[in-house]
Amino acid sequence: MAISGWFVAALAVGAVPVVLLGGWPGLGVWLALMTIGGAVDLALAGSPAGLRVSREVPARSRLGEPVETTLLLVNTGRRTVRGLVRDAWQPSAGARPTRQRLAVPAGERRAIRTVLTPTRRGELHAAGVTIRSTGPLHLVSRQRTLRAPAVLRVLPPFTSRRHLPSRIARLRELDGRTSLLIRGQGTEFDSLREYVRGDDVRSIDWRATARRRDPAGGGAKLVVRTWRPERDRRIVIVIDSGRSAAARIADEVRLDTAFEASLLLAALATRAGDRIDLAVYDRRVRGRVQGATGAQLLARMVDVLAPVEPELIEPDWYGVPALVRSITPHRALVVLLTTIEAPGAAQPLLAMLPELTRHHTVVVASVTDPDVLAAAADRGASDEVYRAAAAERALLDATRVAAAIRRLGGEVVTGAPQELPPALADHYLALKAAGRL
Amino acid sequence: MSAPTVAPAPPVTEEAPPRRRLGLVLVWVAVAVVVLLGVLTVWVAGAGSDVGEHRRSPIDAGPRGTMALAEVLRAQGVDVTVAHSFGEAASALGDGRDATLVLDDDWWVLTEETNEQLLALSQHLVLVQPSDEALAALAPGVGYAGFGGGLLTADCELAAVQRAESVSGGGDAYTAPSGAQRCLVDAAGNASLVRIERGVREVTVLGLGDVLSNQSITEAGNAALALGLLGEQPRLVWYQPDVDDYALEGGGLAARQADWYVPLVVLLLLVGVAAALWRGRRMGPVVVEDLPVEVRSSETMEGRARLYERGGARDHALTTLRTATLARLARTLGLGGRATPDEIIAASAATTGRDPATVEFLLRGATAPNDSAFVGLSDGLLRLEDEVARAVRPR
Repeated sequence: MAISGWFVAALAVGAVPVVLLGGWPGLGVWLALMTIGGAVDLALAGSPAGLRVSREVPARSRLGEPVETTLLLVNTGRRTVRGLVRDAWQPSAGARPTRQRLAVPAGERRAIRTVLTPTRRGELHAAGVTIRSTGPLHLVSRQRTLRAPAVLRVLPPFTSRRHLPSRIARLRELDGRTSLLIRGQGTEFDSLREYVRGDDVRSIDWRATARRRDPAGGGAKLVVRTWRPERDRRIVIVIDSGRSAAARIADEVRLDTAFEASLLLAALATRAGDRIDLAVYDRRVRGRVQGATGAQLLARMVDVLAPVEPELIEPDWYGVPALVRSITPHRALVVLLTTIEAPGAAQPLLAMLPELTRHHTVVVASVTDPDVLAAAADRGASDEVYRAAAAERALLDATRVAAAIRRLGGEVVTGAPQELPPALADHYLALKAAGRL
Repeated sequence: MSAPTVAPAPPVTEEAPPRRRLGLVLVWVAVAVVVLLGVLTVWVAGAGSDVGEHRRSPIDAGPRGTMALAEVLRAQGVDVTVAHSFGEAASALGDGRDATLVLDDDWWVLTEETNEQLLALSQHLVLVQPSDEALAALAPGVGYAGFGGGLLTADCELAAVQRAESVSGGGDAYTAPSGAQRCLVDAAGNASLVRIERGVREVTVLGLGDVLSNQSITEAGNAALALGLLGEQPRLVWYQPDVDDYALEGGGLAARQADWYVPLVVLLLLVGVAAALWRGRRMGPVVVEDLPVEVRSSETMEGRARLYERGGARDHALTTLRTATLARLARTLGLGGRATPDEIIAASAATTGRDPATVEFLLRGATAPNDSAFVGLSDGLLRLEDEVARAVRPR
């Protein structure tokens, strides 16, 4: 039960009879009137318990895109339910409007629409539906909260997809359509075709040229071999969801940057014909995508990544080689999306790395903080110089760790949150061009 | 990517379980306890206060009261009646014969008219520290003359004063007309006890209110004076008017309120409660959300910077800045990661045309005894880097 502003106003109007009827009798009469009015209103209000609610909610949505959800209310009671409805979602769902007027005649169905603008990825839950059914006098209302659970999975935004077309174009350049590519270790034979000016003379296949000699004469047609980058290589992406992934850099959590980078890399690599496997790991596997290809791969990846949040625990790096082994027994490109900061904290990573580099090509990708770079250059006042010294210390530490990783046979890709995904994609293309996959 | 698919949830209509019922009860119990504690606190704080209590009250056994005097009078056979309203006093006095009326208007409640009505009630009137209105109405000619008191000796024919021999206490002193008996005169010539005759009535003005109090009744001859003044007649009416006697004609303060006043206040209180309920009723339970952990990344850097600054770790900070500068110089000069500082210094000096000694001093020797020197060295490092970068850049 809830009382309305009208009830309060009507009660205040009671001052007139109190003065006119002389005190206690006036008060008594007015209170009795209000009580009777309230009771009648309450009795005549449509019962919110008689409503049956159901929802129509899309199963998935991408972060930043508004989603329209529908709430259907069927009135199984005998009276019209008139009043206010609150379709409650958790705050980060950004549900608008939060209160809506509604009138459902008996036996009929009405829909109310709520637009969600999620501000966080992950699983958003709907809470109950609260209905405040007002009586005909608008004095009192009956209120009840009905359960209507629903879940909307908000996927990572994948904003770095805008880098994809240019990288795919670069991939095509690597492809056999141009024979400019020099035969290298990581290339495989693609086809034979006629020589055109500009082709590398070293790629002329003399034996094939001799075989192709036109019997009708007309001169020799040189034949060149074309090469294409090797295909069906394996790429294993391991995302560290440990405590350092919780850090927020330039308004983006490290883990989200890692998601963006892995999505871009996966989109690119699946186009290049490689096989991608993904694992999110700290002390145990938080999410895993294996054996998916093509369009299905990205769909599964965003679905798996959506609910993953950073854990405040130290990642167990010694488990990573076993994890990679469990994903593929073959040689692979292992991409570790983690943080390289202090030498002390990176100790387990460095200790584990030789075991990985012995069998695989390892790339360690880490987000750098543009704030630290800015602080290192900002040296106006004395406190800023101390800050610059601290920033330089952080950068030197990261440099030392990166150098250690390179010494152990790994490769390092770093970049600000906006730059890391394309940088990682470029590194992948470079590795592919060099045939080092 | 997966297109949004519509997945209608099965219709569920259950009332949310009353899981917060017990919590709600506990909250109300807590509110009740808090209110009760508040009331108790106010009551305890007000217990020591004397607001709303009469001074020299014959029903007060404390130091300020006059219960001792009243009880002794009763033991002596005097019929003592305590009155707090005009009606009580009038009915206790009856026809007013063989009765003493003590008027102790310590709150100065009575108006001049009321005082005049008092005169008709009794033949023996004792005014204790009266107001100006009471003096004008009951003892014309007697005027207030300032504070009086101290140790005063008997100096008049009044029997009570004679028996007392000396009186000690504080209060008021009065000027008196020629026909009056002036007693307990102080050095300034003002009397603290004045008795005047008005026809058959005698009016005694007692300025020394302290004399009656439990605290000082035993001093000097105070008890004898008090008993003599108040015990002359077999009946004694002790009238201390309450606030209601302020407007005697209208029937007191309460009678001046309109009859709808209290109901209106009650109604307004109810409106207030209703407004609180109206605004306070929320639409369904609060929805809570588990927020993910997020840490600002540069916090460790900021913390370290503050640590450097607070500890004055200039040497340490300077070493860091120099190491970073050396690394950047090596990169700019294309010396590779394995170049020694000596090589870098020599190469930078050669590139910029600076004296190698000054470059070495900047990168190695110079110390920072204070913050300004520290900032200066940092600027010098940046300048050097800038110069090297400009010298190396192809034109």
